[in-house]
Amino acid sequence: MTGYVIRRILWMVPLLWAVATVTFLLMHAVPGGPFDQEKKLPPGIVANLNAKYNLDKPLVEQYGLFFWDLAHGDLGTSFRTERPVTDLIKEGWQVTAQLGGVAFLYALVVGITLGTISALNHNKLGDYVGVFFATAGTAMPSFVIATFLVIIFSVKLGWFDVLGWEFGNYHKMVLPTITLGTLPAAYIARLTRASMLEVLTQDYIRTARAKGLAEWAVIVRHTIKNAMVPVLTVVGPIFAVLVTGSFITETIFSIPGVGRRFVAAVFDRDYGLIMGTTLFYATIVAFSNLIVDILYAVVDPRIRYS
Amino acid sequence: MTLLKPWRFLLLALLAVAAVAAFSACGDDDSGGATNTPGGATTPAAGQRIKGGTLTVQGLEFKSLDPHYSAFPQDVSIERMLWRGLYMMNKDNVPQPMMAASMPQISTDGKTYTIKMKSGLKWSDGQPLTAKDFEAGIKRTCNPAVASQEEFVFDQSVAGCADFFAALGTADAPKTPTPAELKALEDKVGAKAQDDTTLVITLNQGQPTFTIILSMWPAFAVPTHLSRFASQTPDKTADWGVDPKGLVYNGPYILSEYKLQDSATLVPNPNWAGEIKPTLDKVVLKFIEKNDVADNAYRNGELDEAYADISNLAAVKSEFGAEYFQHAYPGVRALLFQMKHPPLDKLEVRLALSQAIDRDQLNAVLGGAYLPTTSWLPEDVGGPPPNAFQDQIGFNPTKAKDNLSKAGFPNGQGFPKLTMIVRDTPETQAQAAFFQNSFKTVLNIDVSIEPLDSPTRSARIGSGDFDLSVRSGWLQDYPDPENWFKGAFDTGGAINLGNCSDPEVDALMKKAAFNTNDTERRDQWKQVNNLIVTRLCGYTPYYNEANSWLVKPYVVGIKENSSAQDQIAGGDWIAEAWGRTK
Repeated sequence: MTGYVIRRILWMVPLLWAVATVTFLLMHAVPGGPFDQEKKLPPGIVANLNAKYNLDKPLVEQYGLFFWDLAHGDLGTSFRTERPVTDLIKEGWQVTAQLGGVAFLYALVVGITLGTISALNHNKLGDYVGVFFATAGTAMPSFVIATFLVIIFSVKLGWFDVLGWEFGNYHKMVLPTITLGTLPAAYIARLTRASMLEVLTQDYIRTARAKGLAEWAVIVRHTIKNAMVPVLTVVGPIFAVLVTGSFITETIFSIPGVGRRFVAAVFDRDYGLIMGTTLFYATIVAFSNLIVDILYAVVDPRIRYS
Repeated sequence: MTLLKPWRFLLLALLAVAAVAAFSACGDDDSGGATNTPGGATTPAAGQRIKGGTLTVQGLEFKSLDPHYSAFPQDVSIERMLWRGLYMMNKDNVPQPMMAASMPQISTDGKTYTIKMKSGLKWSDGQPLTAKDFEAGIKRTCNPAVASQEEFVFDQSVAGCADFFAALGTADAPKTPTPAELKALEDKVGAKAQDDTTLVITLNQGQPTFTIILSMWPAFAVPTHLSRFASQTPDKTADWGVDPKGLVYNGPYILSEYKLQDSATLVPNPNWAGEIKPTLDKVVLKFIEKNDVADNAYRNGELDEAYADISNLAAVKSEFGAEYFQHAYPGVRALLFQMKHPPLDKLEVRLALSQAIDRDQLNAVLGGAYLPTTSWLPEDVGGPPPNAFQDQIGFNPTKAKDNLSKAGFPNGQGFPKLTMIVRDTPETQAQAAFFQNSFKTVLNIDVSIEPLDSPTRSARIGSGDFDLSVRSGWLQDYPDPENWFKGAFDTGGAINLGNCSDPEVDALMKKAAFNTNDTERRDQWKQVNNLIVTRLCGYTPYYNEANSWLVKPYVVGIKENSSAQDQIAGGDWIAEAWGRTK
């Protein structure tokens, strides 16, 4: 297992290099630059701006400069804010990670609970409620959910705030968490239900019941654990998506997260921030997948890596 | 458990949804932690301004806090709350002394400005604010390493500025001056502190608008007593930064907190030298890009002022009544013609297109959010009334068809297919669709629409790769007619995007640019306006910009001070006058 983990980590280096290279090429292939504005700047000013940020150098040289700085732990400077990209990601990610983490927990708890209740009450009311939630949650876009929540619970009832995020302040946490976490919760609920239904038909479950085990023990010790393997497959990517930020949720609730900053960087052609954020995301996704693979082995002792 | 039939389940689900909806409709707006103020028609709160309180307004996050670099309205808005120049324009756009003790003494040839500053001025940290700081500010704007986006306001006027700014050459012909050479160029920039309170500025030639320019942010002071500015050299300029603790201020407020992508908090500057002292304890600028989000926060009592959501303007006006107000913004929107692309080089074709646009109808389609116009130069800045050119270029289908026929395309026959580039936002695409429909209905010509994101569209316009561009135009930098024409209509001008080239316009612009007789000068700019509009030299204007805001009844200083100088929030040019009555 240790060797496997080390090999996976080493493979991340060429992976991240490939991601960075493709991003760099695509970024410069898109028309328009960071200083192309509605109100056109005089050429002398554009020339000085390009010189300031090394954009007047050949692409190959800009590519080399980026990786030279990266090797020294420097993700570069944001053209728009003139601040180090590392600082921008650090500040934004604190918020995004909190929101993503809370939404992830919400999605896991709600999704697994509903999926389990559905499976255990197959073709009964509990199942219908679970399936309804799973279908509605998957079908409704997050901006529709957010609008619905804001109008009812903020504007009409005044229970929660519209703006911002503050960890520990439920007025600011509830609506963004539900908005961001509902789709993954619905997806996890459906997957859990299907997986549980399949496991419940297995011989070893019948054997466990025949041995006289209490129903809760059959469910908790044998059913849920074995039903989690397919769910784990999606949990890694879900986690990565949630903690790397949702542009829609962050914009609707005006949350200062990385997702919003990343999309703005693309529209602004803020090359420094695009490169830094893309690499950061790629790293998160790579590590998330590695953690999921490790968890497989924990959950299912039959799985062993060499 | 008894198995329920699916239809009973469906009924239960519907009842549950209806119960939530009914509950919310009857809900108490004042419950919970948020403080709600009811919307709807209200009369403004009568009452005295109180000392203290916090005002939370919608803002847009600045891209830079460096006044010598900035050009964006969201930058300028906050910079003017934190710093002020030697002069400041009043509500009538007339410069008044601010850090200066009096209006400048101007030499008879108009080339030398001697400015005496008020005595005893201090930065927010208590250190003296001197003429040397203002000298450093002008030089910083001219420094190529800073790459100021507003350097053009000094480029042709302040002696030595153009040479210093061009010191690094261009991409095709780069230069690598030595630090000594850069220092020599910097020393030649015509801004010198004679003593602690006297600044002398030397111009290339007399410029009648120079005092206005001194009111602008590129002329703000640099705190040269701070170590990073004291030790900087022309080749290694210090970063202005955004860390509140690393900055000092001479404006009415101090930046006490800045949260990236979230908010900036301002508190009064104890060393502010202005006449109007802030009465608020705190101003919080919440950075919110989407106006519908801001309006919900306004409804929920989280904002005291917000932009009105103009995509739903009729409903907003009806809901909020007197809390809604609109103010003209010094900007014009126009259809841009690429005059190098036939048949747009023919005046008759441009006239036909302009006369096919019903500006009033377009404004109705956009919810009445703007002010239809046929003039490039707005009335606020010395232009004629908005309908001054109605007969020449305004909506007239008969004249439009006639002009198209004169151009050789009767009833649109043989007219080439043109493309309109447009920003990929709902509002601009609605404008483009309106024009497309108008041109088809009135002229029987086909024009396609190409939506692009902002940088791509700007790049295409900059390179001339377009036929027509929707919602082009101009947003004012400073309130003088010259700012509306210089560079945009002179042959070969740096921002002459439509390739307008008219010898009569060129000659008149040259006369007006350095005419020290103010009345004559303004009249000459009006004549330039007349020419470029009637000849549709690059543009046909269709509306003047306007800002629409919501303001709580207990807020004072925003509506009353809203003027053509607003950048982001109403009255933000004189934010020290903001306050509350409760």
